[in-house]
Amino acid sequence: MSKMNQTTYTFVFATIICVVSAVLLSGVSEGLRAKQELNAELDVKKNILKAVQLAEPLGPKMKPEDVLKVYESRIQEIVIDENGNIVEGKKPKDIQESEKNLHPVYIYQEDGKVLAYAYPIVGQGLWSVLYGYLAIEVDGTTVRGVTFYKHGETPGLGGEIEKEWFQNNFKGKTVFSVKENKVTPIVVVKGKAKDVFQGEELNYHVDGITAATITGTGVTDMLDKNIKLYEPYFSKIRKNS
Amino acid sequence: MPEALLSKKNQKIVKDGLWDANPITFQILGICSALAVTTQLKTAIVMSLGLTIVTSMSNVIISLMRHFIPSSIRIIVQLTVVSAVVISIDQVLRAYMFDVSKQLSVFVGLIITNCIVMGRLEAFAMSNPPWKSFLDGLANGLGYSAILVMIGIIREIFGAGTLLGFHVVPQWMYAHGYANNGMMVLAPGAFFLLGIIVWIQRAISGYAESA
Amino acid sequence: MKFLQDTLHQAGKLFEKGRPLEKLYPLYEAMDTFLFTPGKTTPKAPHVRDHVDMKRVMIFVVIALIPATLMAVYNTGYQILLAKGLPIDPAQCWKLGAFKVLPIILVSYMAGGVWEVLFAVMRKHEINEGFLVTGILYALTLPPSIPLWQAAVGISFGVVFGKEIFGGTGMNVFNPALTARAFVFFAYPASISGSKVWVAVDGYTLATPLAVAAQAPRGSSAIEALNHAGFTFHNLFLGFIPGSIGETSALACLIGLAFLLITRVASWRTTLGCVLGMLAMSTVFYLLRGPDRLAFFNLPPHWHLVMGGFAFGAVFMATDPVSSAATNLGRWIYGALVGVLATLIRVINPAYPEGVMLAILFMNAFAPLIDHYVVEANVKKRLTRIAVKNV
Repeated sequence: MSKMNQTTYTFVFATIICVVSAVLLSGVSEGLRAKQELNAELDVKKNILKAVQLAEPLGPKMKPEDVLKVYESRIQEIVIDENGNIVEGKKPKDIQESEKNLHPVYIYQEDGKVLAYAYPIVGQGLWSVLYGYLAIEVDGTTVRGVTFYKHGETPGLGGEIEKEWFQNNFKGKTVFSVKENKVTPIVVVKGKAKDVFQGEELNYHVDGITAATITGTGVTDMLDKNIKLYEPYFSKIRKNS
Repeated sequence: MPEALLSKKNQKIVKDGLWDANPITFQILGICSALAVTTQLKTAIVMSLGLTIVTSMSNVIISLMRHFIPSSIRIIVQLTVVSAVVISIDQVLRAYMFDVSKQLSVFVGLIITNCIVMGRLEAFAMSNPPWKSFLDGLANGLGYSAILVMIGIIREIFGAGTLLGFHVVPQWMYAHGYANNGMMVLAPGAFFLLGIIVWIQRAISGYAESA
Repeated sequence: MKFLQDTLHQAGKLFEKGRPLEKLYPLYEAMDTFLFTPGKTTPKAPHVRDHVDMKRVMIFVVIALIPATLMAVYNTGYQILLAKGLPIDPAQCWKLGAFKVLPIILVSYMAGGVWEVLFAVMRKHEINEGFLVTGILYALTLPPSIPLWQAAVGISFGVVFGKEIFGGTGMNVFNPALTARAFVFFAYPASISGSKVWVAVDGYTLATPLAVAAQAPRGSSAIEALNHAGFTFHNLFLGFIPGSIGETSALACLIGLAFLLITRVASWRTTLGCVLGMLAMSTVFYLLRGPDRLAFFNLPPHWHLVMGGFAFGAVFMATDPVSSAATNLGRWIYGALVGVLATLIRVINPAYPEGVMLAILFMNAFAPLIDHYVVEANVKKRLTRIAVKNV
């Protein structure tokens, strides 16, 4: 140490530290990348599978590979544009940040028969952005299932959106009124839906969460936005079926 | 004369970290993560393990290098070592415990800025041999863990009625009007619990801050 | 009377140092001084010669709360009858209301009292009558349907964290009753917010005027929405509306205020400050009203004064001599900011329909700072005066 100039020594030492930690970190990162990407992918796929209400639900202890196998065999990924036309040769993961007019659709099939269409929904709640998936039956009007998998709402109030009972409210509701020929985005009611609405209207109103009116309004707005966004695509499906 | 592995002095190092100079209740360090990750016991445990590994490992590494580190850049060197260890742990968590790492979100990364880690490096590892530094890091990590786990248990039981995800509050209690405590799920709940723990610990140890 | 006093003092000997009940001395002391003027004088300065001591001050506040409490009992019963569609019979109102309200008050006193005594015994200080006030103030701010165990947990938190950790009555930064309510508000939000809790009938939904005004569609008239829901200025003022037990009637609060001002327990500056702050802020909103603004904006300022817990908070909570500002100018500033903040939270933040509790607690934290600067400013002013003389 005494041979070397103090400043030079400091620089050399710093360089060694940098190189060693850089090598170490890139090693760790490279080594684990595949596994991490699989996890992130799995997370998305599990939520899609949950939204489309699989005929055979996923077991809680299911191995990642099996989940992927189920996904691969049941879900077909497509991309649509703002007019509801399918963009050939594009997958949801190819959509760029700038391509605001392109939207992913996940088609659920069992033995070659289409059972449902799922798409991501995003919107603002009271405190946080809510993320979820909405699945529509093959008729293009009926809700098959909905999930909210990420949010930062008050636990016990707005946070109830992640609970089964709330998500189950949406099953069987309709996003399109054939009778009146118009889109009917689902509205979260304050209180019980059946106390306020009857008949046709009850088809697109769901029970709210007590003391979480704003989160409910947030869900309503987010459904309204997303359902209208996908309407061109689903109107085609309705025409064809 | 070589010192025994668990000599009186070394025992004191351990006891200091766990009790007399507990990083949370005595030094009031690491509060941010103690509030943020303790809504569930599971995340609290993972975070505790993470921090314990980081403090003990980086303590050993810095202690080994302590004669070579130029004092003018010692903080930066410490930070680099800590960051490297923390990022590695974060990567491993993301690969093998994805759900937990999602819940911990940025807080694993923030171990880098945790005052406990840097504090131990600067105060202890820079001037002590590796084995002692390891004990010190381990003891401080465990001292931190003990508090986190305690808060995690109380918050999960009273806030969600579960422990490690299993229902522990029986259904009949809910049927009779019991409700989970929403305060426990919010950060202030942890803050009050922490206050109570500090209160109790200082009442027992008789420690009083000098004005 | 003399006989009672003698008996008590006889018994009191049992509590003196070295006697069997030594540890429970605070209990005896509280009983004794509560019933009789204390025989002791303050050993150290300052000595204020007045017939009113701390205990009487607190008793005055309790007396001032009588109208609000009576109204609380009556209105709780009245709302139950109304909800069930039964004919309104005053005797029935009193009875039903008493069944709902008295248990809450009792639980509040008992649960809080246990902690009070525990700390008094452990820390060897006297039991303070401040708790007589805290216990009832807290009970009156709860919804009538509150589960009793939650009320008990809340007051326990309020007494321990709102007061005892700071060293007991007189040292507390925050108003203990409001601290207790804030705890219930965050811990058990489903029991203290929404539209199901304000009438003590299971499953009955009735929104408070605040909720009605907050949820009226953008651009619509808030007054129309209120009138449509059956709320007129008149009945908001009288208090025959759903809400927290004792907070509904601005009139009852005004009577209480008159008593507090006559006995000089409360500072009129604080209360007036609150009123002016709220009027000022709501006038600003009123001027900003428009078709795409929240309906709450177009509510005329004077309506704000009779809604929610404002009257109760401004009269009984903000004026708490311990947690509010202590200088006269400070009281103006403190009060005005309470009013401004309460209005802001009420109108702008959709998550909190009422802002008075949060505003007062928030300003409690700032009261010492306000006082500090008021005193500093005064010191500076007087220093310049001296300087002038020296020249």
